[in-house]
Amino acid sequence: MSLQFGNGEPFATGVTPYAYQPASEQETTPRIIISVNIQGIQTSAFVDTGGVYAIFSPEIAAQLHLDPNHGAQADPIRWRGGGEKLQGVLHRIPITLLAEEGTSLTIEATCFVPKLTHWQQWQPDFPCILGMYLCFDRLRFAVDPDPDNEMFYFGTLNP
Amino acid sequence: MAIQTDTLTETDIDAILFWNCVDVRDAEDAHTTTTGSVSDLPYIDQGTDVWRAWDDDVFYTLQNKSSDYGDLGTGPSILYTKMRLRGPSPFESIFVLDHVMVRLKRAADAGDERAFLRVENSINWETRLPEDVLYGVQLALAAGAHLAARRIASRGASRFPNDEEIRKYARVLSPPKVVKEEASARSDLRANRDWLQVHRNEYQGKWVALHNGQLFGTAPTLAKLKDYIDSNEGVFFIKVY
Repeated sequence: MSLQFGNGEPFATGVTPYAYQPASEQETTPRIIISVNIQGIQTSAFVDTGGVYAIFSPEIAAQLHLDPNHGAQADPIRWRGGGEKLQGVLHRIPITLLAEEGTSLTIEATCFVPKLTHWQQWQPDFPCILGMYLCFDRLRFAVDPDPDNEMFYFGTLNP
Repeated sequence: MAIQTDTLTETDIDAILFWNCVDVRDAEDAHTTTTGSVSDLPYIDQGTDVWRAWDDDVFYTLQNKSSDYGDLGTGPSILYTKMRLRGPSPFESIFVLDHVMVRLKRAADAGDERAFLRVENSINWETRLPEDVLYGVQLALAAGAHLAARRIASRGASRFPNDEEIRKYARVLSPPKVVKEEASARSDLRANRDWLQVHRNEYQGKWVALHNGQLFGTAPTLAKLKDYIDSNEGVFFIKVY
């Protein structure tokens, strides 16, 4: 399973199958979607190497019952480029990358938790996103795009 | 232009900026002399506590800086600093805009990360108050300068370890870290993914609960779906697209 450096040191310590498909109703571009556990809720999230923070779907966020007073006010973000702005709060939350084989990793990442306005509540078409900066930027990862066996490898910088 | 009021509104500040009565004092104007108006304040390392006019008879000394912050209504309160004139002057007190923070805010408002970093690099955060640090972090986030936000927050937390807000930002913006590694063998991940690939069109737009590749329940919202499920153990929740 594991990917290794030339000296035998592990590059990745866990591997999981991923789905390669759009991550929301209004998208057509496929994303790399992996399984995660967010404070006891097993769900999926797509990997966004150009993104900042982990961003939770409003419905997942609501289930976590986070106290906004424990978070730091974030600048609003836009989803889907020119889409509407979402207000939110930054929290520090453990996210577990679930491994089919090897080692599951729990990272404490910076998470943007959206606060929807009343008129936004009806359309929470918003997936969970694992951004690079403040989330994935201390992990090693690699993708095997073999259509018959799409796999996402991951490992820590300091195994 | 002279400002003699004890409170400034955002409109006042906009007016000042419009008439260039504050920003006019850039480095190239440093040689000009003062007549005691706001626009004649000398260019001296903006953001420091003591300003001195070119006319030796007039000193502009900051007094009780921490308690002199005013209220700008809906705007931030740290864009200006109350200063008091000493010596022969027609004014009792004046307000001076905090040039650097104004520029920082302009860059953030414009979403211009490069401009923001240029201004930010010129600020000596070691001499700044907690309010400035906090505002600097928030502006950095607004400008998209996330590394700068982390740096300002981290240094601020070292200087002001009892400031809860600064500590909060320093904590949430600190680098991510691995907190747990656990051996796992999860055949259900593949089974759930395979179920989704087969049934995607059937359940489009719905939340589903899966357990080891078997459908456990379905509902229009996650909250409703979780009402049906007794335990989260081993259950995978996903909205189908």
